[in-house]
Order: sequence, then structure tokens, then C-alpha cells
Amino acid sequence: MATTVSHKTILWGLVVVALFLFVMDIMLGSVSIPFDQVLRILIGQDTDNQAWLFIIEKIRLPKALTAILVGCGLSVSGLQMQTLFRNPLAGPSELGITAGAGLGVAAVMLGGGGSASMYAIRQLGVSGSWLIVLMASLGSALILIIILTIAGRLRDNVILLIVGVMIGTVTLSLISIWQYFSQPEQLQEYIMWTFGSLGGVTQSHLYVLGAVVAFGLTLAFISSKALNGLLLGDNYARSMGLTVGRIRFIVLASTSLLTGGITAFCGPIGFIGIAVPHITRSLFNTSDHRILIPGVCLVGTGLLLLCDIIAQMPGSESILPINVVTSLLGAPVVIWIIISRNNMRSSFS
Amino acid sequence: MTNTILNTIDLTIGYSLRKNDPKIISSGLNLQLQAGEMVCLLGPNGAGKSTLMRTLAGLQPAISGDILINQTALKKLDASNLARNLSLILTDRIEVGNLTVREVVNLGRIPYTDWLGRLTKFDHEKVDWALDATETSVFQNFKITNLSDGERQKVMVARALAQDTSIIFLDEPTAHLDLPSRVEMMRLLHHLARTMQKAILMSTHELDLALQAADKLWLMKGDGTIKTGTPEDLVLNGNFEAAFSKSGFYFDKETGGFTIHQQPTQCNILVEGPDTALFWLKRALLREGYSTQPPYNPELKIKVDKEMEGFYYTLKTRELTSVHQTVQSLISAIKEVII
Repeated sequence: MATTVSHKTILWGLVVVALFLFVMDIMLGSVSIPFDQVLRILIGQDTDNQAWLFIIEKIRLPKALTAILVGCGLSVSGLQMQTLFRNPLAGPSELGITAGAGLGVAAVMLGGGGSASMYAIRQLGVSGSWLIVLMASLGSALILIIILTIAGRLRDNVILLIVGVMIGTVTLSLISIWQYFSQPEQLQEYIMWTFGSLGGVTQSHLYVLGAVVAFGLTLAFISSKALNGLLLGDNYARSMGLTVGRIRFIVLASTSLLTGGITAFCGPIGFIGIAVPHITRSLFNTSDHRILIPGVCLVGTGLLLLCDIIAQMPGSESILPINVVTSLLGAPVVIWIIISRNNMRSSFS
Repeated sequence: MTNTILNTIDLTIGYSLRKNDPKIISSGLNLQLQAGEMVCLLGPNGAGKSTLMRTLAGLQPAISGDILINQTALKKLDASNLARNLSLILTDRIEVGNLTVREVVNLGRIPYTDWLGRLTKFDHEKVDWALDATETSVFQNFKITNLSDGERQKVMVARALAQDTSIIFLDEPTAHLDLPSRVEMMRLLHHLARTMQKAILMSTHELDLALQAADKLWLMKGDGTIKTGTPEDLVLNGNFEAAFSKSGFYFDKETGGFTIHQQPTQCNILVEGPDTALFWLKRALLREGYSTQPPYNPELKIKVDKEMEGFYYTLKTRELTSVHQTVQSLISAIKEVII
């Protein structure tokens, strides 16, 4: 078919853009490293400037790889949620799922007393990070289950969004109460975490995050046929032999792992989950998840790398929190979705 | 030779609000669906048509009794096996767009495709065939949201055909459609049942169309009893009328249509003339509350005669005779005479 050819072309185009942004992300920052040197270091050749080697190997490369993982993970979990809820406004941060992950993280950081602070968990290394991932994923799953239960009774997209925002607020209030009774040192770490950061992921943590995201993405890709079936609604999906309960569970597991894992390491990063699926759908002009899932991964990767390039404000000494940049870029997209009802209608009703 | 595809044995349907406290809608059902037949499930709202359809489709459990599909018990079929035997077309509007007509019909192949949902050459042929059979192949590359309700419903029929099942259930498939689309949909379904030996069961409120197009009717009364048979038998033995008895709404066996007016009481008028004109004149009189059945009022008589371009109406009473060009002026003349 002619359409699949053009889909492939767009996918390859996105790969090129993402690679370009990946290299740019490594080149730019408070210290600019020339393009040829970046390439040399990336392919493992020697360089005469040891400082550059250190910056790339220890700081920028892990950060860029984290950006890729976060971009893929949040976008795919947003895409799955939009299909599952049949709601264009669904997304991990919009429906309070990241707040749920935050609750899980707070339980570890604030609840565990001084011994379980983020610093201590860094010292614990890989096993400690699994604990945070687990708690954050459980927190996400808890909120998702609550929202799913409520969504069964609601037909209205906007009302579900309002309910999601309310549940998010309740969750944040719970965290606030916790904060109120916590030690200042613990508080500071938690607040730093809420700003969001791609840079806090060390090499060993990167393996953990990579494993979690890879597993979540695999689950999502396996369920792409079922997600396509769900486009016609639960009843049609059931009539075509799909077990809706099982699909729900898989999507729930995948979304919780992706959102929980990423939020645990990088803090609550907003708007990527809701904005990327919409950009991708209008780019590919399809609802087929077999194309959309790789599509959102590439668009998400590109967008998050771009946000990271902006966040490190090339040429200046300071760095913006990543959450600020994604919100500045993402919120207008959400407003655009709501205003252009046509776009919403062509995708959802 | 008849070929039974679905039958029920002593089936009881209903739903349980609480555990061990089922609300029974209908019991002792022994129903049959044959290949090549279109059956319309009729009945007033709330009689339990949806519960019956959902139970037969395996979407909700039966209270007791058995449902056999091609001689296999429904409860023994797993989800994808059932989906190869039975497809559904629902009233649910397709809310997600951005899918082309062909992509929607492709989804019908879900029970047959691999884990990624890739279509083989055979699957594509089935889809082509389904699009052709429903005359939807011309807009196969259109987005589903750009179609009219009637076209969209035909696409859903194509999707059900692509699913390649011996049974197709439709839940009020004509609910959102305008009259020409309704007629077309009924004709299409009847044609599919005949030519492809599908067993089609549809619930509908289109009593007129169902009487004309259905091979069999399942009449569900408000008390949950179900009468089955050809439309003609059910009309002649009075079951049809009984199922829809309501004040101010009755079925006219003579015309095969429903009458929305009260039984006329004002006056019984003798009318005579050519059939076509009489048919419409009787309707007009009925609307005004005059019967055209005996015993006739001896003082009134209407005679219709054919002219070059149309009809003219002669009203005879004891005192005077008047001639009218239109039914409208005839009616106003009758009103004056009777008051």
C-alpha cells in the first residue's frame, strides 16, 4: 500500500532528526564540544582533551540516553492511556498518575526516616533504586485503578480530566501533609526531585531505568493489536475475541511501570505524555498502534532531547529544571488540542 | 433442508443484581437460528431484547439452560473461537476516527491474525470481498468519520463480514439512519443472509420493515414470552397485534400497517370507487374519526370516480349531493353535514 511506504519514510525521517538532536544534546551545554570530537568520543576513539571525554562519558551521554528513555516511555504510556480511556486529554501527568508515582517516592524518601533518603538510596545503588521504582510503579498503578474505575461510569472526556486533576490534587495534598511533618533535609531532596532532572541518573541506575522502560515498551508493543481493537470500543473488542480485562491489565502494568520508573528517577515530567501522541497522530494521520508506538517513541525522543538542549541553556553556566521546559513547550500543545475541536473529533469522536 | 446454526435448550435469561438473586426476564426458551435466514427480534422497550441478544452473544451469562452454536456449547467456546462463529454490530457509535474504512474492516480479521495483527494475502482478499459485498469499496480509503451514518453502518456490516462468521447479530442497526438508508440496510442484510447462507439476528423497532424483510420474527412480549414464526403467520394468528397492543395504536391486518389513531367512533360512512383512491381516502377519514366499516350510516355515502388527471369525490346525503375535487374539501363538507 502507498500509505505504508510514506509511514516508513516519516519513521526514517524521525530517526534522522532524533540522531541529530542526540548529537546536538551532547555537543551543547555550558561547555561546547566540537562536532568531530563528539563523534570521535562516541565511537570510542581517543581524544586529546580529557575534560571533554569526562563530560561526555559521565554527564552528557547518560543524560542524553535518559532523555531517550524518558521520551519513549512517557509518550507510549500517554498513547496507551488515550486509547484505553478513549480520551484525547488522557496522559500520565494529567490524570494524576505521576502524582501517584510521587506518592510512592515520598513514601520511600519521607516515610523511611533519615536512613532511606535519596542520598542513602544512591549509596544503596541498584537494589535501592529498584525499591523506589517499585514504590513509584505501585503508586501509579493505584491511581490508574482508581481512575479506571471512575472512567467506567463517565462518558464525558472533560469530566474525567477534572476528576483526574482532583485525584492528582488529593495525592499531592497527602504528600504535602507528609512533607509538613518531615525533616528539612529530607524535604529539600524531595523538592529537588519534583523539579525533574535527567541528569541525576548515574550509569548503574541507567541500566535499571533502561530495563524498566524496555519491559514497559515491550508490553505496549505486544498489545498493539489489542489496542487497535479497542479503538472501536470495549464491546466491539470483546466481539472480536479480545479479552478486554486482560488488555486492561497489560496496559495498566505497562503504563504504571513506564510512568513509575521514569518518575522515580527523573521526577514528575509533565506534558510529554499527552502532547507527543497528538503530534504523532497528526504527523502520521493514522490510529494504527503498530505505526503509532514506534512513532511516538521517535517523536518523544526528539522532543525530550530538544527540551534538554533548551534546559541546559547553551553558552550559559546555569541549567533549567527539565519540567519547566517541557511544561513551556507542552502546555500550549494541550491548549491547541482543546481549541481545535476538529483535531479532537477526527481522532476521538 | 434446514441447517440450524444456533439453538437454545430450555434457556433462562436475566441478570443478577446481587449474588444468588437473579432477576429472570424469560425462561424455557427453545429458539433456533437457521443458515440463510434473517430473523428480526421485535418487542416493546424494556421487554428484554438486549438481554437476550447479549446472552446469545456470550456477553453475559445465561441463568440456566444451554446455547449451542454449530452443536457446540457456547460456554465451551473460548473468546477467539466464539469470534470466528459470531460477529456483532452494535448501536455504539464509532468514536475513534483517524481510521480509514479499510482499516476498520481490517479489524474484522483480528480473530485470525498473528500477535501483531498482520494481514496475510488471504486476509486482504476477505476484506476486499467484504467491501465489495457491502458496496463500500468505493470509499475504502476515506476516513470513517467523513461518512454518513448510513455508510458508516454499512462499513460495520463489512467489518462483520470480514470476520467471516456463520452468525451475525445486529443490535438496532437502523437506529440512527434516515428512511432510505434503513430500507437499504434491511435489503442488504436480507440479501447477505440469502446469498452467503449467514444466520442473521437483528433487534429492531422497524416493525413495518421487519414484517416485509424478515424471514422469521421473534416477538418478545412485555412479560418475557417469545413467539416465533414467519411474519405472516404471526399477523394472522393475532400474536403480532397482541405484542404491541397499546391504547391509541393498533395494527391493521387489512393494510399490514400500524394505525396511530383511536378506533373511530363518530360515524360509519360507506365509500366506493377505485382501490387506489379508496385506500388514501379511508386514511383521511380515519384521521378525522370516521370509520369506513359497516354498519353504515344510511344518511351518508361517498362515491369516488376517476377523471382524466385524477379523482373526484361525490358526497351524497339525504338532502344534497356535492362534488369535490380534493379530499380536503370533501372532509370539510362532511364536517359541516355531521355537525
